[in-house]
Amino acid sequence: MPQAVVCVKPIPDPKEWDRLSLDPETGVLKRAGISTVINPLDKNALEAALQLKDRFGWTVTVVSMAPPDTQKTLREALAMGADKVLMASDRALGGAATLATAYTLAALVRKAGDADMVFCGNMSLDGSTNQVVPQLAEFLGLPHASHVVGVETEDGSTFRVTVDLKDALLTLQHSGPMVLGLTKEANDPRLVSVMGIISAQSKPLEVFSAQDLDLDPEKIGQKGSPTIVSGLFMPEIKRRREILSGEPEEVVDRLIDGLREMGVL
Amino acid sequence: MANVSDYSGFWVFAEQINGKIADVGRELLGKARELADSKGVEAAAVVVGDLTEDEVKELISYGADKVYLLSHPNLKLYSSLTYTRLLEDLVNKEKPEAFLFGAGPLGADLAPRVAARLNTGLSAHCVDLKLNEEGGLDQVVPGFGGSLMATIVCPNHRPQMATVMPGAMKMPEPKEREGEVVRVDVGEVPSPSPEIVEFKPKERSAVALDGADVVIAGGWGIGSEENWKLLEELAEVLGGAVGATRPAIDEGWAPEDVMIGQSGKTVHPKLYIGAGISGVMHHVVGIQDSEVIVAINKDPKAQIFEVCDFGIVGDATKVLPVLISKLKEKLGE
Amino acid sequence: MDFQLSEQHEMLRKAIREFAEKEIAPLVEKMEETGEFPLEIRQKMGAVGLCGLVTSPEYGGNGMGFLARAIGIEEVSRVCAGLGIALQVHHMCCWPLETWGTEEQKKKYLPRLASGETFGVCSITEPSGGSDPMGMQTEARLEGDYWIVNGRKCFATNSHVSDIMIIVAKTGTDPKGRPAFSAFIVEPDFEGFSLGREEKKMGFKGASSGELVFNDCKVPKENLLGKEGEGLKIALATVNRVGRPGMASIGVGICYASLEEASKFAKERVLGGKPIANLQAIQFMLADMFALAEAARILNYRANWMMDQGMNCDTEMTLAKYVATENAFQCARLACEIHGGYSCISEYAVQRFLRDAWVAIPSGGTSQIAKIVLGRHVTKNF
Repeated sequence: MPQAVVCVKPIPDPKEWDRLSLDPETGVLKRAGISTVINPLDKNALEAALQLKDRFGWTVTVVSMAPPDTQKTLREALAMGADKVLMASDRALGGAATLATAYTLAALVRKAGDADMVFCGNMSLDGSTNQVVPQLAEFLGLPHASHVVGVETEDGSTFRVTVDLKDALLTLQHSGPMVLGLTKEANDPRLVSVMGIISAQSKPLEVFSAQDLDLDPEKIGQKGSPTIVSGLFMPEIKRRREILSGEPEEVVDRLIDGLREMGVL
Repeated sequence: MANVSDYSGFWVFAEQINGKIADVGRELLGKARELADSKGVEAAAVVVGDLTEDEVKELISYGADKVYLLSHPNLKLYSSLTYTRLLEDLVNKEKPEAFLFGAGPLGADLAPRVAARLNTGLSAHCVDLKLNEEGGLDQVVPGFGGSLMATIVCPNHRPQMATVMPGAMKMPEPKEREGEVVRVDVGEVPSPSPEIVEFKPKERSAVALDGADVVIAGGWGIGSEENWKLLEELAEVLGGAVGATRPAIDEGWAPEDVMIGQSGKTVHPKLYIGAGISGVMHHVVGIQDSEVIVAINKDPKAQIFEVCDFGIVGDATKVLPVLISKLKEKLGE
Repeated sequence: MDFQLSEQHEMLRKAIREFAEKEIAPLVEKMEETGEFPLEIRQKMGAVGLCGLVTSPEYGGNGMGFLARAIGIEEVSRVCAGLGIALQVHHMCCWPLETWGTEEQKKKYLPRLASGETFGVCSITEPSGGSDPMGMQTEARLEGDYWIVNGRKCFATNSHVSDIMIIVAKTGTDPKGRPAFSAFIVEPDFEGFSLGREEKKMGFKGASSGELVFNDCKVPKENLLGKEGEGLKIALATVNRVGRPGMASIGVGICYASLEEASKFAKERVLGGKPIANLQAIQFMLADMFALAEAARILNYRANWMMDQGMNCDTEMTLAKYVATENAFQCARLACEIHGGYSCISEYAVQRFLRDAWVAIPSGGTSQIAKIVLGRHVTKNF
């Protein structure tokens, strides 16, 4: 049976981001008490895979690199209809930038066996880097497409993938595995049903350590990350309240300059 | 790990779609120029496509000492695998210390793959770039939808790569400058794989309110259906959508489904401009997530001025025509 | 003691909340305006599993049970109490069918109910009153292969959107000479059945409730539910164990909806340069609402958990219903108070919560009736 592998990331619920704060002593992000959800675009990825399951009987395997306490969140993917979850959970994986994340996910995808298609959310809403899709493809040696707004197939073997380049739409055609990054325009993810919740309890969820996956310690976690976060800060979100009055000509000039300064023109 | 001292110069990937070089490339050149000057090194642009020297030399006037041109008919359309391979070769040969990409759909798709190929770091959607004490790049990126900002550095790998939001860097004024276009030998270029079966430039159509980057909203202060057209015109100039408050809809100036607020839609554009709107709570709850709020109202005590970034005290019907004509002029540049 | 919801129940809450916000919330405005029940929601509620919560898998349900049902109805009611009551009464049709129905009856009716193809009705109340079943006027007599039913039921939730109804009618007297009742499964196309008026209600707008009229209505013999004479037992058990916790769950949903709206408003509403949430007067009201909501929820979860354990829980169910619906009204009232003048405008949901909470109090037995039950329990046990 062909297999779709879906990369899923548990993230702090975007509805609760206004409660995020920085520890004033350590500068570390405080996220205690904020619930965890599946990254919303990963549900679009999962939906695309589940449609292949519904239409052509594919197996759907979810892979995730996440702390062990997010198993509950990953079970939701099973409740949506995925067949199993393979999870990489290890302290050594902490602090990973996208390169190390992609390397680890690639190992999980290989662990899942032959992937006939790899679906990801185009980005995670918390980090919004857009980077994991191309980098995962690079590690797997597969072609990729990000900003995917449509995946079509007649027979489950040749795929037409539509990419949104903002000013243009590009359609690719390919037979064989690719790594695709889906946007929310790609489909409408199904809701979890009670039947799904009940069946999720008996589906496999396997947890692997870095060693189980034969990962190179130099390439994972903080060690495998060329970039480091040298500082975190909360942006000033207060409104500027710059009040302009005078002749329309003058105030409009000032407004246009101001909008350019703020990067919205 | 790379020998950091072997790498020098600030590069910009100036992306083209359909033969047109995107503005973000010019904006980034302004920044690259500034960074290069403060270290006394070169700034360069890299263009991949099917273009002539003449079509790319304008980039010199935006700050490039060199424009690397990788041209071939099969490079006209973007293909991540081919572009990655070409950039990999060029970087390994020329060794720039930094390589900046626009964070649009093309740059955001290409840069990560190039970074992975080169085994180096890449920061995403930078809003600011500056040199730190070690001469490296401090890259400021938003996280959690902008609720948090992070400074990213890439101490031991080169080039330091970053994607930068279009519009985040100021567009430089073009100047007469010395520089050269360097045509890079691209050798045999296969046709793109996966195969590109369709390339369809998007027609500009009416933008939906929900996902609009720019929202122009009008209220009772607009005064008439005739004046309402000003809002539509402004929306067209900025590629945005028009929304309305309850009183404007009751007057019949706008359809019910563009109501913004408590009982209507919540919008989260980059830019919201409210004209003739007093800013009662009903409406304000629907616009709070806007990145920048501009208010135009005759009444200096209007509540909307409490929650705006820029407030213009004046008659919207007098301010809007000026705004429209000036924007047309400046955006047309 | 374990107050932690299971992973499954937590996932259920999340799933139903998402469902309610995505599928139900867009319907509310029109339901309020027209009072019409959105028929298309039935199958969606069926597909997500809400309709089959108290029905076994062998009859098309998921059998997740009563605590799950409490969470499901609570989440639906948090968005739309009108659909909360439609769902809760639907379960009042499913549960007695599975508990007392014959194999044929279960196979015939339950899958259609669990899938949401249709909603169920369970109707006892008559124009003469709901809490005095002995005074019930509707009668049925056996003639050949049919029970001939005559009478009129009123305030029957789902009346006009249902194809499967359970009703109770007088079928003679018991050996002691008291009236005896039996329960029947009725379909709307049975000869002699018709729908009467549909009520225009103050709250629960968009939930259908109206009259069922029986005029020599011919109910096939095999549609007797349970044994002849068991009608009152079936009716009371259904009201106690399904109806009351259902109303309690609606109350809990309204409590939290009120709390959320009030807190959101208080944080957004600025007076004198500061959000009113900073004022102690507002904080006190929010604190009261929180206490009311949590107390209602815990009582309701306990009662439903007892039901899932097969324990006798009639008193706990009544207590939960009484507290949750009264607290819902208090919470909605405080939410309105925090909203000030805005509470009078239909754009703000709190006025709807207040109307819905008021209608929830007499549904399934008024608070005074509940207090009679609770008072007897106290004098007997303390």
